[in-house]
Amino acid sequence: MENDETTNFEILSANDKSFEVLSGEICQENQNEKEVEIIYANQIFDVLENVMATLNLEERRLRMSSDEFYIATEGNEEIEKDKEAAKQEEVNYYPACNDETNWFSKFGTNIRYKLEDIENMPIFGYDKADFDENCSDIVLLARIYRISAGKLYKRNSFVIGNPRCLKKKFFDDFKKLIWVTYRSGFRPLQSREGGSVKSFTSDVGWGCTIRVGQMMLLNTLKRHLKGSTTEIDLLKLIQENSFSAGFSLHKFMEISHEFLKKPGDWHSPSMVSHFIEKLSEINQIPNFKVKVFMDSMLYRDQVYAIATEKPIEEIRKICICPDDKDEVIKFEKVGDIICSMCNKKTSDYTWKNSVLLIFPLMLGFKKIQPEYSETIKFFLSLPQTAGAIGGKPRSALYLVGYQGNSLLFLDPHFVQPSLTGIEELSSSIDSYHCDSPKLIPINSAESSISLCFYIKDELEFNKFLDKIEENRRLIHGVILVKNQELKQSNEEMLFFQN
Amino acid sequence: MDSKLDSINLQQRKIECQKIMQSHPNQIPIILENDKEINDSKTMENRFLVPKRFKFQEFIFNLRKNMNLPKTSALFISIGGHLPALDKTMISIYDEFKNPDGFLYVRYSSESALG
Repeated sequence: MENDETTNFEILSANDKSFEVLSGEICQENQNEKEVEIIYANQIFDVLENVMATLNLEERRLRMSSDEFYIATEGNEEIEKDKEAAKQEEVNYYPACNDETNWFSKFGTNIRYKLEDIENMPIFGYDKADFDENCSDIVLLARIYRISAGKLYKRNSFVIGNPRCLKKKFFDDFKKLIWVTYRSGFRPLQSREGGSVKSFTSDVGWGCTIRVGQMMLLNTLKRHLKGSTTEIDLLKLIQENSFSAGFSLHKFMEISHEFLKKPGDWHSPSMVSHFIEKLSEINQIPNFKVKVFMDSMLYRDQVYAIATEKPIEEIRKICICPDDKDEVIKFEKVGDIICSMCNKKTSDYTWKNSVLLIFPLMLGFKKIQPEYSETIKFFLSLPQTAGAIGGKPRSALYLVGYQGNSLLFLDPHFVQPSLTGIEELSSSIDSYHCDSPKLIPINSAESSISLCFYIKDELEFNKFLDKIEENRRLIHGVILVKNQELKQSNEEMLFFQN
Repeated sequence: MDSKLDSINLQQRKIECQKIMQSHPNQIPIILENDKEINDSKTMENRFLVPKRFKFQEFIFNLRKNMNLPKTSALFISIGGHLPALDKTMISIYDEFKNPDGFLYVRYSSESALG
């Protein structure tokens, strides 16, 4: 690489358990492009320097002897001790451990990430959000950014302005999103396979779907706890080295055996959705519930049951029709007020909880089928959207919006050191924010995708359902709304043998 | 698509299918195949008769019940290399994708894991 004459550039990246060799001609032999070559070459060297500096594990990290390692097995005495310690001190941090074993894969991952960051970089480069005079609107978590002449004008749902102001506003908003990446040097995670025990001190090459799940959850919680919490408190929830963190990588791994997964395995978006649902039951967040709906079905009674905290049988007996519909007429009958739509009596209930709805979907084979591209854009522009756990084949990305026919995303494939305490967390809060909005064409995005929606209250829920109903053609049955789960029908499927 | 049934003569399969359809005029004969990439014991080759007026989503719902899949497992069914919309009826899917032998071959496909 040091050789100036070199025209081929090779990077070994460890995105898989086996190494994958990426090679590309960064510098082309064409003489006219000599200048461009030099620019790229300089940028590459900058990247290398930068990556080396970030990955050089500093002396401040404490070294641990191997017998102090945390062992992730259930019923371990150490855990019991730890639990007591955690109770005494709200946030109890484990010292980070030195992790130099897979420096090579980290190096590759970060180089790749930095190369992807460079504008117009051939082969590696992603498209970047565009602010030209006649570019299409950018949508970031349902907020529309539109170029026009004149001053900046902003509302909750849209921002209009000249390119320069708009770009600044967009970057400000984008940087406010919480970005979670691979971390290295955390307390070891153990994985048993056959007779051998593997120990992981970083999640490079396997944890990206979980990181995307954490991103989605934290950004939703930020919205949910708006005003009543600080960002540092939110980030405490995912610290690998903190015992009390309810949504850390280690907590995800503790429940992963129920899904027949172990540290080092790859996860699918639907699996991570279920992890989040499960963890949110273990670690209660005030007035917040998570619900995963499989098979594209949304059952209203189930949403009402978790939102009102009433048993589902009770919900099924009472009227949950939206009040603002014209066709709803309520009439009195034997002392009860009956709804004309559902023929059920009305009863008082209150939505105690906000609900995060997750829909794991499959929208094609490996790549998204063309008819669904408008569908995804529609869902990402709904006010209730919380983004989507998606990606490109083999790597997970947190999809937060779109421009034209490309999806805007936050990329977890960047390695940063795991933090060891609150002080360190407050000084390195920048490592949880990303300043490069990148785009991936919808037709090259991964078809396994989990759409997420944050439903604040009943009014929002009804608005959400109305939008789905209005745009039924666009949705192609990706989400179907039903009042309750199908009953076994009179006609049944039969089995037959040869 | 019909690789598994190559050993059985097309004519034989046709006759078999006609017999089944004659005895069950309101049903569609469906054969569920495993995705080659998945080696999962849960998804043995199965043959079903599905009511014509069923929606695709009802078929998935019943399939999940019959396969005893846990609620958390993903179940994705593809037909002829295509994922049909859930609100399509089985008869319209059948008309579009049926095999020359008269059966409708559907495939169980898994979700991709990402790293």
